[in-house]
Amino acid sequence: MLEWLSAGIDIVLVAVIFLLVLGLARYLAPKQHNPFKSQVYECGIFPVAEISQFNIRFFVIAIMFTLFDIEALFMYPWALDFKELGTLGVVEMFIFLFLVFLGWIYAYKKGALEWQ
Amino acid sequence: MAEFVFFVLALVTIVGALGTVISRNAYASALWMVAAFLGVSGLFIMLNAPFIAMLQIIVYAGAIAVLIIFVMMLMDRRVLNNKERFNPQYLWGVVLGVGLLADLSALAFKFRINLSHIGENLTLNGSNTKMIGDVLFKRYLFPFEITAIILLIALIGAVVLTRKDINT
Amino acid sequence: MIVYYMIVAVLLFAIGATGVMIRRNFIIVLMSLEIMLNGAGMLLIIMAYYLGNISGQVMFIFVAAVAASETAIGLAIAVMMYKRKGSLDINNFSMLKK
Repeated sequence: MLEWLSAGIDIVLVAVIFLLVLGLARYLAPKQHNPFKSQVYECGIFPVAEISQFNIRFFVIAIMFTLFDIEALFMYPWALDFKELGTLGVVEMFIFLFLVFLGWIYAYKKGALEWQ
Repeated sequence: MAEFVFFVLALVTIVGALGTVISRNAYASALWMVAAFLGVSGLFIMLNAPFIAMLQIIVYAGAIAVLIIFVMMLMDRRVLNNKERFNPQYLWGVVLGVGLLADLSALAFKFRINLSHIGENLTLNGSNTKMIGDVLFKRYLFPFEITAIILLIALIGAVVLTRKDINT
Repeated sequence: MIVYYMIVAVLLFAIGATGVMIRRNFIIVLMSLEIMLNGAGMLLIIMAYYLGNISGQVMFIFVAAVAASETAIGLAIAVMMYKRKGSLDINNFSMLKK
């Protein structure tokens, strides 16, 4: 029972703070909705289509982030086992890093990371 | 107490998964998916796998869910939240899904392994991360290097697939 | 107790499979696939716990790596099809027919 106590207090605290902040924002924030305010800003004419806030070029960068995130994940157990694995561990990890880095070189060479 | 915590986490997981599949709004669907992943992560902590639980949060709820929501933000809201959610033959899909569920749960209830000649349940002596590292870098060395090639191919594939469409 | 964990994993897998079969939106199909993979991975963790063998947890790391690669490629296909067809409905993606 006692070992769950700290986790329980944590969860209750998080829930209370979360609801408190949301409730406070709802109570304090001014509410003035109107359809023109939530529209895309155009100089007078009515907008014909929705625009996306982000350029699609960011997509390749987002994908590279995900894949290098996985790569970093493999380094946590490696870092803890660094001493026991010795030189072989370093070689193994650098082969791994090199293979993933080849992908970055490819994306760079193909100009996927450039803004034209 | 452990049963109660398990029940709450299982409820979060299942409701999150159902919300992902049923939800009308694609953004809401993605957030339900994050809820399901967080529930699964809690279950992993209950199963003595704290490193995997953190991995679940970092990779699934962090990277993958953010990538999916990011791609949704690139797209027109009206295309994304189409009026018709389900395929015309969705009833057959549900029937097949329920059949799969019945089949697999029957298997799960039948599942028995005599533990006497295998060993005890997993206990954590020392760091879970270190235990994983001991096995990963010795016994599973080759799969580990193959994973690098999978990641490489995924990166090259994503660049090849989107390059033409991005530059127009 | 272990059988209840297995039931949760099976439920995740079945719900994900149903989502793959019934939804039209390609991105939501990808999310359902993610849930299916997570259910399968959860079974690995359950067996690692039950059999006292850490290898199951190592396998889950490989599953996570494959899941991330699969999402990256899937979303690249989604972006490509959105740009070319202006739609995310998988019933519009059947270009190999005819």
